Amino acid sequence: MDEDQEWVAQVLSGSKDAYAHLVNKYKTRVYGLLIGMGASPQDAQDLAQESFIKAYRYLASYNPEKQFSSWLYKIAANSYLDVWRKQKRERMDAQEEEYVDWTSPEQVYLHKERAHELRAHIARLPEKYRLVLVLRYIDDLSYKEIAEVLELPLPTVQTHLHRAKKKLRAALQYTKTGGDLNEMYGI
Amino acid sequence: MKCTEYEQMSRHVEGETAGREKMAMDTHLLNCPACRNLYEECQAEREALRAALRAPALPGSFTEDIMARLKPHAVVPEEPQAPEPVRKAGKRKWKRWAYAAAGTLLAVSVAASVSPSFASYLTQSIFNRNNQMIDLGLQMAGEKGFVQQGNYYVTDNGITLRVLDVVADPTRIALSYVLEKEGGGHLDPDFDPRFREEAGNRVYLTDTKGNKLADMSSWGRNDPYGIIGFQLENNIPEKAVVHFELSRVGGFAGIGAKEGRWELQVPVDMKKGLEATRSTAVNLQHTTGQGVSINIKTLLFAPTKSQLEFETSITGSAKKKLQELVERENRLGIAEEGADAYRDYTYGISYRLLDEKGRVVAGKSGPVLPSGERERNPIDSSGVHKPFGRTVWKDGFVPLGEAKRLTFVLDAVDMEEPSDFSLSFTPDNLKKSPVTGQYQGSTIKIKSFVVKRDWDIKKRPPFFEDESHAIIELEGVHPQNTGTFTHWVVTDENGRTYKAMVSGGEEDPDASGNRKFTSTLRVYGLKHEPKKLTLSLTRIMKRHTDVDWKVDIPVSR
Repeated sequence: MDEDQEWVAQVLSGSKDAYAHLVNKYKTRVYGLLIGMGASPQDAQDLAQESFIKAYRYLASYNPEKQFSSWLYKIAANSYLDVWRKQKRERMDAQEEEYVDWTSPEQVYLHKERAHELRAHIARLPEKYRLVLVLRYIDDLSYKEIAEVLELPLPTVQTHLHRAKKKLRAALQYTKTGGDLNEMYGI
Repeated sequence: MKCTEYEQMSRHVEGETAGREKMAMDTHLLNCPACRNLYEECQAEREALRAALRAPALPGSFTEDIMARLKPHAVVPEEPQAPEPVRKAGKRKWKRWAYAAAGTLLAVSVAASVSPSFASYLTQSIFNRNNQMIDLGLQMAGEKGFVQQGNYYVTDNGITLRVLDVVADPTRIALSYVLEKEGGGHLDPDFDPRFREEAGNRVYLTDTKGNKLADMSSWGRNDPYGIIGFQLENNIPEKAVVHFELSRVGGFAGIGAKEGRWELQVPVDMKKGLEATRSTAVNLQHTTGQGVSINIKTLLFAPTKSQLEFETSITGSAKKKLQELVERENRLGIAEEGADAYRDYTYGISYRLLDEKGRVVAGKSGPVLPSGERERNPIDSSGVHKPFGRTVWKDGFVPLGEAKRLTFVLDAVDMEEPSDFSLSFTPDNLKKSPVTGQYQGSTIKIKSFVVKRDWDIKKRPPFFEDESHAIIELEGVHPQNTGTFTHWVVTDENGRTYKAMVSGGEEDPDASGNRKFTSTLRVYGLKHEPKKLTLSLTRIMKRHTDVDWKVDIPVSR
């Protein structure tokens, strides 16, 4: 129906260059998804490229009745989960150092501090909550689209998102009043 | 409707409420400052999460690196029996869309990469026909030459606030601005607080004598530009002034913000917009069998929108029903304290507007109107509550300067009414024998009951607050015309009654019009494991489609 499907059709009929439109359109969001999931910027970049290449190879299996973006996010989320699930725990602390360098030097301190704080909290959320939250905010996916990507029932998506936000709210207030974050999350 | 809890408001802010739930919330928000605060809080939260999850820039070679690793897909030669004729037609259609899509993309990317010199801003307004980031009305007004441009800017702390385009007519003023960084680049076009006057950032409209006409009423982004809107009431002067008084720009909820002082006054010439606007007195009145009275007052064609002004109120039977409802809730002890009963009572109408050829030009939450058409031709609605259930509406839709005739078709009336449905159950037995009930054709099943031990952290002592509450999960099916069930109370074995906070969702109707639903009831205050509970529905929101009013609205030439 939309331009994505048209580009997919062009790629499938042999026009490789049409794929560049899709890469350009979604690269930042796929990258954001992977970083939001907890990959370091360099790993996220590699994984994003792998995801696009995987999507290209399996493009014929994509069902054009569904959103291309949802299908792509599913591939990216799975790539992340395949590679990182096992190593996640050990890597978490190391990644946080890298987060600090995200923001360019001229950006104000406040920005760094607040966004960094929020990202650190997001990184500590249980994986199932984090996935829903990240999908929701990197591309404003509707609950229905998130349900499609993660193959979860709609009420579960709603509950996960609500719990994720409640935990973040509580955590942000908790750090202000002092306290141990691990305790907060029951880790 | 009753005040909203965080979960529901959060869904509302994210555009996840629909139909009657959305309507009830929008109406409630018009007049409840507490809920408006919660609304803004949820908005701030969403912006903060978006900002926190915004990805850093990728290297320029990212796409090329991928493309270099791909081989063209092999084209499968057409076999004699394949593809079916339908599919062929589909392919041709795709090709045509491809050109259209490419054109759009190009135009958008040109707008987004405009260099920051003023001369180049002047070459194209962002209020133009190809900019799909703005509403159609602004696109059309831009195309017809209603954009005013001038060299308005102010610099402080290395940041220049520059106003680029202004579009004005008697219904609204819209302007675009950009926050330029010294030495190139832009800040995020956001600023915070956007709508609360007290805290450092103000954007408002006055006449030339400094009398205030309006506060900023809308904000949107079309990066790197921001778009500000003012909704206008009557008595618009020929000249007006937009005032910027900003002290923190470039971010929301503190993220990415820069401090300084940016004061700027931008003159707006209303004359052209006023001259191009036609207003017709309509004065058509109808009262539905349900007791909802509709009085269509004015139809207005302005360059950026068409606007239907009408008033709704409740009469006779509807007022009586409302009294019953309020009395009943008082008996149960669950009525909102001191709440204006009429204000708390939700009703609404759904309608369509057809042009002289019978085409739908605008629609408001109609059950008859296909949802695709409703999305293409939405009505943006604003209402002001008056005493005794009266509401004055200004419903805007796409500019229709050329329309020869418009027909107003009333599709449905939604009204809350009292309900006497209740279900008793023993929480302990629920797992073994789920409880199911029937009400007005709907099936309601109580799926589970748990008491959740929970606490919340407050900014002020006591820092920990016991938020333990009971959670009841319901599921079921509504047939085509039953209401939405949003007002539940729970009575425990000691006869104490608690109000439930309801959230949940509905699936789209299936072929026979049945809608599956799930609801989560949170019962605050209920912290013990009760032996027996009675769940009662106090109100339902019911849609009446047996309304028959179709009327031509005169369009003067």
